[in-house]
Amino acid sequence: MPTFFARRYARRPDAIGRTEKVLSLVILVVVAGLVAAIVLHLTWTWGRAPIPCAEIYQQSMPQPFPASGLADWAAPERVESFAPDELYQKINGRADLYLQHGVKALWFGTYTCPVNGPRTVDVYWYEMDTPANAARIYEAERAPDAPTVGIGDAGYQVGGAVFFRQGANYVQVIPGSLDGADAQVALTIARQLAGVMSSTALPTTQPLQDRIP
Amino acid sequence: MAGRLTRRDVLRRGAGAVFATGCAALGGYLLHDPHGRRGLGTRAQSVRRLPNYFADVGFPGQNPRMSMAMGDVQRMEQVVRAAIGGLDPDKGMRRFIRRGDVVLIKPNVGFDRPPALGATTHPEVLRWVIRLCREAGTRRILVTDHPIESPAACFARTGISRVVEEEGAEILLPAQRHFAEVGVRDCEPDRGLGEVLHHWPMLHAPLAEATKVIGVAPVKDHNLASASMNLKNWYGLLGERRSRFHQAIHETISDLALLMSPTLVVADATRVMMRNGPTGGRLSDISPGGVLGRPTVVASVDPVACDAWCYENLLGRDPDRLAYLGLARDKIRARVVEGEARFGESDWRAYDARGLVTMVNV
Amino acid sequence: MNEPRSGSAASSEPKPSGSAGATESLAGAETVRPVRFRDSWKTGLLRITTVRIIVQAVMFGLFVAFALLTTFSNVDRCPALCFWLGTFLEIDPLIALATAITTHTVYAGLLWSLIILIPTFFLGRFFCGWICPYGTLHHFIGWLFRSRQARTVDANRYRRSQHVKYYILAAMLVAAVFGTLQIGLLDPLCLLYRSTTGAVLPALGMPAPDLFGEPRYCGGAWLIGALLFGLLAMNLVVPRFFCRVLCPLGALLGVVSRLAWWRVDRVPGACTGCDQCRLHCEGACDPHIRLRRAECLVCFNCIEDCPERALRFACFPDRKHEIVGTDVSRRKLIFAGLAGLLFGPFVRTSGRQTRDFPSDLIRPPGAVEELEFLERCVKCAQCARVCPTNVIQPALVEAGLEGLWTPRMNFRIGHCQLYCTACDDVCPTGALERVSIDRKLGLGEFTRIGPIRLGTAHIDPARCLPHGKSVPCVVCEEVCPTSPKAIYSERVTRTLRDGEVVELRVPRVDIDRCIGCGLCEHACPVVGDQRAIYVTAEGESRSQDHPDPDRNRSVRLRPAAAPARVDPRLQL
Repeated sequence: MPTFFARRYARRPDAIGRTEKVLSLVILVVVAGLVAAIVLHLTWTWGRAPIPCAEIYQQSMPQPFPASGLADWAAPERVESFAPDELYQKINGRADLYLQHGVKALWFGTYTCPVNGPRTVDVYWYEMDTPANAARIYEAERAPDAPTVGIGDAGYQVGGAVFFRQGANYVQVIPGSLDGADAQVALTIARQLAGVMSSTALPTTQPLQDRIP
Repeated sequence: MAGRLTRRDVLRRGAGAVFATGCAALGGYLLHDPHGRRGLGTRAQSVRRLPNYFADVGFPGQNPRMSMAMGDVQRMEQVVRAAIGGLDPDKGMRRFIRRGDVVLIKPNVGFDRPPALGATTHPEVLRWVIRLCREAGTRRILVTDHPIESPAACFARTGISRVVEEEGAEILLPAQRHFAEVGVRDCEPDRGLGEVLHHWPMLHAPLAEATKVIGVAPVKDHNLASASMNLKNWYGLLGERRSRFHQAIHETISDLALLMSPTLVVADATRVMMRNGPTGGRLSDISPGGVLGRPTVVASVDPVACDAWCYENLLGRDPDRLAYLGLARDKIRARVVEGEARFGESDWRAYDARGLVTMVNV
Repeated sequence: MNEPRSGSAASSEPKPSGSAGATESLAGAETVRPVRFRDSWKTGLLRITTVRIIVQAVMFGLFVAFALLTTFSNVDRCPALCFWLGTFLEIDPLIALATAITTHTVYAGLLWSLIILIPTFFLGRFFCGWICPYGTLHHFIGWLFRSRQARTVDANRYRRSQHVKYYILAAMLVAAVFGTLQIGLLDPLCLLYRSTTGAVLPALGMPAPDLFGEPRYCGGAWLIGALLFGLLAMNLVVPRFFCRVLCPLGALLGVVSRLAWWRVDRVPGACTGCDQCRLHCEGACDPHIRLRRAECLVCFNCIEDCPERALRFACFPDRKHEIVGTDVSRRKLIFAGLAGLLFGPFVRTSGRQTRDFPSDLIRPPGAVEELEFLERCVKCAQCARVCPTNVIQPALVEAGLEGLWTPRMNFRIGHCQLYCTACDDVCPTGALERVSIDRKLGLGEFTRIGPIRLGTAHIDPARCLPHGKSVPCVVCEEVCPTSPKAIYSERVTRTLRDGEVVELRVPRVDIDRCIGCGLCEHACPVVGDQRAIYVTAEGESRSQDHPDPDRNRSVRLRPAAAPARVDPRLQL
């Protein structure tokens, strides 16, 4: 190193002073520390910065339906979803009533149980635009003397089928057997469904139209 | 100058000029281009051809040509194994991949979208295809695609890059030097016969390196071509301004079907985009397994038949009305010589009638 | 006591010196007989000049490392890189000062400039001699290539032309007071970053894409490269020409050096007038007579070279031994200020920022409104460097004279990637705001205000293949990334020339959904200057709320934003 920096002329003849040595040392240490800090900072944080979308690839399908809460009953494998203008495909003439009450989406799925069956429980999950509208459609369909059940914001059960509303959602849980044999199952499933819906104004699931992924 | 001129002096001093003269003359002679054609850029000269990646598979005649498996997303391993295993119950993937092969897997990573939207290959399907190849003893597994958007972002957001890294395969992000002219046919294409491609820059570097090629494509609607399935998957290998081919999309897809003879194709119908393809964007367009209703994976050695089956049974449409299927069948039939291993049947029921289609519920 | 001699080309005969080395007179271009001292390696290492060279090399190496590392995929992977890669811009006090003048704020990371500015108040222009990578580049090029004439003492004499940088600084700062930021043109770090991004890396990438990245396009790269090369070439004639004559940052640091406590001080008693100190003086600050504080780059070469040990770095040295001020002519300074004062109105009168705005000036997403943008952009081209699709290009004439080298989108070269905000993450001055993906796409809490729109796409029906030529296409609809798509198609039936009846899908743009990302223009097969579908700046969201109608680019009444709500399970 000295030969590299030797100059073609006279230079300071003596050894350098102590102040200069100390100062130089300090500067070298500081600069080395800075470089080390940069390198460490970069290598420690060098990894995959989380790209949020990749995390959700486990869910390959919108699956609003929770598990049934019962051993033999499987959650719906196949979920049908309907936008407002497609509603009639599922519920025919009744679609008008729902459209008047501001329906945003219908999710339909079937819980199945192979034991003693196959037994089924159909779930019609209507997302309305406001809780007020959910309440109105709930009242419109409610039989006046139906016994209430403590599910969601308000609910009742008639003939084994459970109807309840929670937030801006209106749900019908309808067993396949008409003799009320699966009434208790319907209650359990309804309770599970109410559990995944938040009771705040915003529905947990969002409209089908105009989503930007 | 001092002194007399000696002979040695003359020789030494004269030799330089003479040598230079000789070099100039030789150089001029060798490089001469009297009409100016030699010096022009030669685009057509280094046109490459693709090999038949199915040629040395040795596929037995009695094996099923198409194999479907339906199951749940949580059990994707069993679904993929069942689908590929259905093509050869004894050896499975080993029928297709041998020890020491370099395998190129071409998924659809065309869009910067999360995988839930069904525009790209499901990462789990790709994961198990890679795993099966690795179990069969490959030397290298390459995964590539050429999207219009930034390749790094597309591979990341679709979840593909993470799966490929976890499985120990390699991603090849396309760069300018990976492209080369690839020829489909020797003569000028005849539009009257439905021909479009002569030669075109394609993502040739991985194709040249690979000994086996597997396509893993999602099944989805397409606004122009009506559906994007296995044959449309090769569109991602085209380079340059490939948007020009939209003007003759069916002819282009069938030309690609002629160009590319893959080892295997796997159709990913775990979530099928039924409307608004190819980019989609609404969850309401998605249906697991399409019309079938359950997530499905289809493996096949005949891409044309696989497309026909998927068009009918997953998208619920009439394959006779899908123009590129018929064109592909005709082109392959016209090109394939006797004894060459190549399948290109657009009528999948012909296979079904011979019992060459298997379906299994996982 | 020997009288100090004033600087002159030819020195007198040497005084006998007590040094161990023999010297000859430094007349003209001769060099002395080499004398080497064999230091122990420790002493050699700890010489202050050696340390300075090491620090210069380290700083330049850091700059080069950051320049090479700043690619989109690295930035995406390592958020810490965003913190470091703009370091040299953030510690630049001139950028901080000028943007403080124009915006009355100090933006985010620019506060780091205090770690340069405050020590300058005590130590002088150490930044120029120790840290500035552009200065190091000039120093190195000059050391390597300069001619024999430029290796003499005469080359380092103080020149009147060294006043020019103060006039440049005055003009630019006065212009900044009136709202136009032009320091980016000549600020050394902005210049270096811009030249690296715009000229050097693309040129290196052409033969060696593996090392330097795929070669990228850069509009007007020749001008940027020529400026860099021209300034470097001047070092062959005048050492550190840019630093001495043109650098406005050096001028600023020189002006505040008058407060410095420590200075190079010459002890007249020991000085023999040999002028050795001027041989390697970097700043041309006349250490042999009265040192000019504002020019000294604290390189310590004079202290190293003096055989009599007559120079030292002292605290509060004698005022008689130095020239404190910059020695510029006040009248010329005022004239320069006048030039700066008039620059703003002269360029703004064209109306290009207001009523006569150019529709092809599309700024990157996250850009603030145009006049504020011109108050902030320092033309450093960091946004262009990190852009994954190479769509950000330096403007030449599209943004007017003020907007030279400010970033604009060129959708023929690339498009704006939907889920990318890399350009916003690296802007050091806030010309491009830090926006989240949610803000950019109008998701989550931003659904009511909608997405950031860069402009609007328009279809030219004469050039469009389905519209004008009855040829099927709709590539634009296919590639449109918004959801629902901003381009939809209508089915029309046409009768062709030969009587054949065809059904075509012709594309149309939904003006309420288009965000101006340019994918359609980029993918359109009708190539050339004007694509069949092209994006213009009308409808850009950054100006649509502006009360001044001349600066408001909106096309329609603000629509009731279509509520684009997201399945929360997607957690975007």
